Amino acid sequence: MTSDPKHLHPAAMLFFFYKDIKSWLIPAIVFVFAVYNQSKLWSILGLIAVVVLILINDLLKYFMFSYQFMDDEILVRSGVFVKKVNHIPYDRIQNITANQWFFLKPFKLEELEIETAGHSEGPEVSLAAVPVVLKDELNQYRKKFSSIEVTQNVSRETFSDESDSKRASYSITWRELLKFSLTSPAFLSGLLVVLAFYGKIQHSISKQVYQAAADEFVHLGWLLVAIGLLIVLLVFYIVSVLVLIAKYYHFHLEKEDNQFEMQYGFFKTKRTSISKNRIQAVVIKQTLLRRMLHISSIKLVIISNSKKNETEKDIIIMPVIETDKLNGFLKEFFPHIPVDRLKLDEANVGTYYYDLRNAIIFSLITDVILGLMVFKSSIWLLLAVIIASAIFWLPSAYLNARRARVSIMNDEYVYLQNNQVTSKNSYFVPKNSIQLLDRRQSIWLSKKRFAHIRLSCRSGVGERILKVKYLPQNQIDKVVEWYKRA
Amino acid sequence: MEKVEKLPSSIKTIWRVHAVIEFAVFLVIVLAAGLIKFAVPVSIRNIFDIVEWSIIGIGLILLIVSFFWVVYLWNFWTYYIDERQVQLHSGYFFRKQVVIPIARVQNVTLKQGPILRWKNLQKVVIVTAAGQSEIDGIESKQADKLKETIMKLAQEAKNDI
Repeated sequence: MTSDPKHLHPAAMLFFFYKDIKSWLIPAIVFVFAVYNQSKLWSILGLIAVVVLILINDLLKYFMFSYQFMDDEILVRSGVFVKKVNHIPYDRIQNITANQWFFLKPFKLEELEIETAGHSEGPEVSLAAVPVVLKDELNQYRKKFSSIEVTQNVSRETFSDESDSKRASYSITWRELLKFSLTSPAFLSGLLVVLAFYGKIQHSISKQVYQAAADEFVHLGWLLVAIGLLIVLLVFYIVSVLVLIAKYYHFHLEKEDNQFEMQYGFFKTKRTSISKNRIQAVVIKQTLLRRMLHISSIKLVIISNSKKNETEKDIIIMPVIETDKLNGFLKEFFPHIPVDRLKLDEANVGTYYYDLRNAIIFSLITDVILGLMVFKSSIWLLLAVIIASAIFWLPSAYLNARRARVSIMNDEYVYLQNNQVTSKNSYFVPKNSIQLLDRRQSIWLSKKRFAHIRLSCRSGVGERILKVKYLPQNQIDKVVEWYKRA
Repeated sequence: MEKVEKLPSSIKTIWRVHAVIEFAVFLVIVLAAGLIKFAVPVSIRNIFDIVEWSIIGIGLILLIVSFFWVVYLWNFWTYYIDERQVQLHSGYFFRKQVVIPIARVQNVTLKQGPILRWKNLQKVVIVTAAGQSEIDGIESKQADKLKETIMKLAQEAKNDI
């Protein structure tokens, strides 16, 4: 059974156009700036030419682009001068994402992104505007194909097993969503972006403007300035909260045979399916503030084509969950992880000693370096430096020690827990996904019987190293032995 | 092959040759940068000379230290292969032990540059899905055997991701 080659919905042209305009915007502005003074006519003509060329290009692109479902693969044809035929076998498809903007909903259209295990940047295929039913159709083709496959090829993965065919689903509650967005530090990064932007345009603001603003400030008094800053902060905070609520609006997670399906978003509804054999580890993340509120988020370390940085690469499968519900959730969605068998020892005194010793050394080094620069100006500044460096180094070192754990759960799973500045990360890692194990120990640590461990996993297109430092040697050696056992 | 093995002692010569080459490159760069002194006033040219020669001096000391360092490295660099995993050990003061299960090995690359060929050695790169580990150089014949062993074992072991 094969379908005929089909074109995208004509609305796709709008998306093509939007994308091209976006990428041509900056060159176009530069061009206009350069030419406008010399000849208005030419700059306007040039702009029109660019727009027309883009339109023609998009039109051609639209008519040359077609997709077709075959028995065992998807065929995507594209290209105006260079013809490209992309074959994607169903069993190589790993993640499918459907994005639906709210204005496409009445037309029953959405964007489909199909990812394979290849090392290409971004999704292998992106279908800009196709009918909503297409995803189900695609899934049917895949299912039919895999049912043929299963009989021939019996493979067992840690995360995808026959006994794990039970369905499960979970929806976020409003309470959780609010807690999540109110405690997110995302607004700080938004502020940083604005500050960086300000730094860039700073040069173009003339001194007179500064002078005028400074005079104004003097009139207003510092109190008002402080209030003004506070209001700016507050606005940023509220905007970031609203953005987060819109992004994770109605978050819904579903487990089905071999995949996880997530659906979320208010303006842009995103539906992602992740095949389970891409999952490398399950991470539970908890920032300090959220720890106080007893909530945490669950993420997956997966193999994907994403080029984003390390922490963003992890897929959030549960933006927020109350800590008491955590075990229940894990049991339901990851029945293979023996959460009940997790036994953690108390943090070792030696771990505290080493972490705090290092922190004090680093803090003293900072004191000396900065101290040499400031001690002439005032003794108070020196004191401030000492206190600031202590605040910078000591609490995170204390948390490092307090949270450093590694523990074997059963033959398949190891539990690893560490600290990242102030947020706590707990990893459930199956033996299968650990690519290599690295045990480190200095001769002085070996006398005291302490060691470090690093587990290397795949993540995104690269490597992720999970490490814990300064743990008792017998715990580390147990993990090494566990890992060596087949 | 089931015992802890050291790298052949001729690898020490190779490491030393590498150190000498690095020093030569460093020397050329420093001397080239030293040409700037003809562009500065004569009065501070002296200081310039002192700085240049002290940098070269430090480089020379590092070169001599690395000649002895090579012995330390070689003494504590061992590897071990059995039917389940490859293990690499290095260091005495800072000990590092890497365990790579054969089932996780994606491919094995053998490399040989002119210096390694001169001593009839090969570099073995063991690639996993996440990264790679290297054995700096072992005898050619042994390297081929090692490659065969690892690949045979890797094919037997189930390799899913």
